[in-house]
Amino acid sequence: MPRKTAAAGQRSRRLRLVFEIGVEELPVAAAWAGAHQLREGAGPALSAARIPAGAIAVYSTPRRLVLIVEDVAPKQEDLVREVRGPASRVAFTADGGPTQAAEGFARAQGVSPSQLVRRTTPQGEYVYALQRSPGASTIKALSDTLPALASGLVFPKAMRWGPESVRFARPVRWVLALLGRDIVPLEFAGVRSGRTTSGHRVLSAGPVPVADARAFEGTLKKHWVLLDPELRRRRIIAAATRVARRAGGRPILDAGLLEESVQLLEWPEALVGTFAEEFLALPREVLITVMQHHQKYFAVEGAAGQLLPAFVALRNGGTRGLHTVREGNEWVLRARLADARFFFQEDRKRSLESRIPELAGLVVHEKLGTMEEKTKRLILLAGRLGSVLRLDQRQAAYLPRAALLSKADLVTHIVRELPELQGIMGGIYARLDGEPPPVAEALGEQYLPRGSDLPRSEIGAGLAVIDKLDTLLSALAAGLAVSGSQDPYGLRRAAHGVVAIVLDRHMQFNLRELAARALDDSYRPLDPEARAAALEGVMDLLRQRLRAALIDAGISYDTVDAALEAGCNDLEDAAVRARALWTFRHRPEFLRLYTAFDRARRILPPRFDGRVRPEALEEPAEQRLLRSLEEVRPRVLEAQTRGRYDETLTYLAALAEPVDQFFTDVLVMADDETARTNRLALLAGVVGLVRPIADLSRVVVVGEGKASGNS
Amino acid sequence: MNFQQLIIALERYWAAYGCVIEQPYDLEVGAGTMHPATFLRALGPEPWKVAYVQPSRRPTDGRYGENPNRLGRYFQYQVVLKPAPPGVQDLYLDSLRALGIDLLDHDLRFLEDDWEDQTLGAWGLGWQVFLDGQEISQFTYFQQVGGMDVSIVSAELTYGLERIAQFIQRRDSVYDLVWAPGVTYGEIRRQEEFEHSKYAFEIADTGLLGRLFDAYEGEAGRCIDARLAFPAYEHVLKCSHIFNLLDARGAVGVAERAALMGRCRVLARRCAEIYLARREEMGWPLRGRVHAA
Repeated sequence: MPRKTAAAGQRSRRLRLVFEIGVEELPVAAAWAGAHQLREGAGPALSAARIPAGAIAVYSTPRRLVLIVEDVAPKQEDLVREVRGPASRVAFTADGGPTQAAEGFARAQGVSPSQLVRRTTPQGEYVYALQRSPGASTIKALSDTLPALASGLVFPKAMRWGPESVRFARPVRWVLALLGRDIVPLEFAGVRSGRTTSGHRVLSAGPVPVADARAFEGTLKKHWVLLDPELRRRRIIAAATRVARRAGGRPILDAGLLEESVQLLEWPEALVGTFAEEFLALPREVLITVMQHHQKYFAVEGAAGQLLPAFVALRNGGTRGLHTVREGNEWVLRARLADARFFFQEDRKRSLESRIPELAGLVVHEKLGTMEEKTKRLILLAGRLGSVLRLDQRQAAYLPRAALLSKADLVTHIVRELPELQGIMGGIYARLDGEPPPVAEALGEQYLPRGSDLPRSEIGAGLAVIDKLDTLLSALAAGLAVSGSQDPYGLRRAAHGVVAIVLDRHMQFNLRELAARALDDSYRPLDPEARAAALEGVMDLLRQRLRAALIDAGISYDTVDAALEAGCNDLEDAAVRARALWTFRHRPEFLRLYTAFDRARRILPPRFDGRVRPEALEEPAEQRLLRSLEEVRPRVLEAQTRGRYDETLTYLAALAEPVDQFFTDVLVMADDETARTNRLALLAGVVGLVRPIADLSRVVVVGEGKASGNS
Repeated sequence: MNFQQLIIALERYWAAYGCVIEQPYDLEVGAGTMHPATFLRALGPEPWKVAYVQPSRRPTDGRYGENPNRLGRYFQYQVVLKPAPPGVQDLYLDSLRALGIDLLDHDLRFLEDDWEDQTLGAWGLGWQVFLDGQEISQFTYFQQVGGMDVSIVSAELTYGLERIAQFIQRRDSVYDLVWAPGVTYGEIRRQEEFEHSKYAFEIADTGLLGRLFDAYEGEAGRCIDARLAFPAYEHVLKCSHIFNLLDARGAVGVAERAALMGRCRVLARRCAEIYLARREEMGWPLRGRVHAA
């Protein structure tokens, strides 16, 4: 009982820590990066400083990064250092008393010999002196810990702003550091800590003192700052929904814009504005892009999903002057829409096709040539993909047509102004030019996937795949590559896109062959070594992304590796095998097939190519295995051609028993060469049937009744 | 508030703060940053506070006087504070108040904007400032100028005068702005916009321009050899403007584009180096001397 009371007493004396880095408006990505790193770093930093603490929370607004730690102990934990002395056999006499050596050591360490403890080490038993230095006050420790934590923050882009050489995402203007009611004295980025913060940039004037760390959020709230992003998000959604209702609709709450707005506003307020109905004649995508990307407004739609001539704008602050803000935003949007309409009308004076020659002036990258060259390569790739996918004649003609037109929108006025609309405008203009609907649709889908949004049309999927495949081939043929975590040419993303679409649409074809042919079509001057390197580079990227996609889908990594090891030139086929193997792994037969395969594989010499001579088989177990093999083989191969790897694996499992019997009854490595070759050839038959499905030696079998198969 | 009252209000505000009120540079430049009062003075350890109007030429943005929001020549109000004072954002906000804008009635945002000028070898980080959804200014902390890290970080504030005036006067077309009582922006500038667009897009002699580029580049080199930073820099500005004209005329190929900009950048860097060397020889005359905030 007394103990419990002591602990409770200890807890009640614990304090709240608030550490706020006050900055000029942070870029959204920088705020997110900073908050993330603070969140990850705070716990370890406090532990390393031996500061017992409770829950950690990190918040960001445009003007502050805030770390709040609850239940911080007022004192550091004691530091206990163990100093090794002489070996125990030297330190103690036979009757257990300390020797001179022990006494000397104890004296040197300032402890009495009776305080020495024994520890067993790999080198034997030694005596140790425990050096206990009492913990300092937490506030003192934090003076070093917090600046170090803040200095460790890394941003996508950092800057200098004053005489100090400090770099941060934007200038640091104040630092608040409070432990309970006390200031944690420290200096960061040339700024001394204090108890003052700042409120809303316009609605609150001057520095705002905070008496106690517990009053921090409440004080900010009084000065028009909602610290918790979750509260800001809820406020935005509620306000946007409320004001949109006034315009008779609901806001299209684009997830990206919503997150960005949460970070951009300290005190979100919403207003609804309108624009002239005549602008609704512009394509929906254009309207939404102008509102969303350029003005950060939410578009408003009616009950039937049609756009209304209204928008929801957010405002950083309260409701005062809201009508002026609305008027201003309406005025700005009107100019923007008038511009867009002008560009749209200009673009419509010429067909998409007539713009293709202008692509010669548009460079993809200095090493990758122009968009005109890319278009030419895409047309060839389109023909090749069409034939391997066995598209019917009409569809097969759509794909090269879509490839021909695919980049033409990049030289339209609208896309030059609103680059986010690439592809989408192509689709709209193609439709208006009277191109076949599948061609127009494909243009709009060529840059997918975006998030979980995938092409829905066959031609769109085809165009999206060859666009990315060309990105990969041209980059690797030019010697550009992915390095470490950097992906400056978007190659990983392109590979991910190919994999996602191929799997989504179950597109079965030999990608290696297609890529190889494309390299010969478009990069004839490559020497054989460079050609091979480019091809392997592309296939390797695709394989990595396929592996990641399958693991993400819930298949264990070793199962994926087993399936991919058996081949992944056809991505879809490899994925089907991986899924079949994963399902099969959960069945009781799996372990038996695995064991049979594993035993057979281990005993086979490398590059064994002996053949079975049936007439020389004497043992019943040999004959039985041969019969089983002959029975199973045609079924396995047949199911395999249909891509039914689930059936294939079930048939293969029938070999487990005969193989087991075979190993029990027969000595494989017989002295007689004929018998030995024959027996090995039987096992090679087993391995040969399983291997094209999966290399089971990659599967990690632990605690499933057998020894590990991981070799 | 008419157009000239806007300019006068900014002049008064920044003069009162202690800025040197410079005058527009008398050569064609693409932006206020290219004025030597910014480009050269941002270099080195000498403090500096300056403000001025700078007519800025963007031949490719010319629209024959037809587009209500785009101009081939427009006016920037440029302020450079070196070093950037800690309260520089508040100073800027007060300048908006001086224009009669009550910020309590508006929505103000500082949105990330990284600025880079490849011909000048300069870059910085800062914001575009938005008022009720309208971009009205750019705000930059210089990090490099002339390819060199700056020794003192300057804050550069650039007001888009036409944008702000359109916002204040609520004009859909820049040409409808009231410049002075009874005279509109269009009445003063539309003919000029039309003629310059016509010249830049249709008439300019690309052969001549090409030769001029080479000649001015050569002259810049001679000035550099003679260690004359200002004359050398003026010839770089001429090259830069000629490049813009060639670009508007569609006479710059893809590969050539990067090459011409590279040539300007190399010269700009040399000018910056000579300017610094000369200032150092003079013992940094403005060091520690300039107008305290």
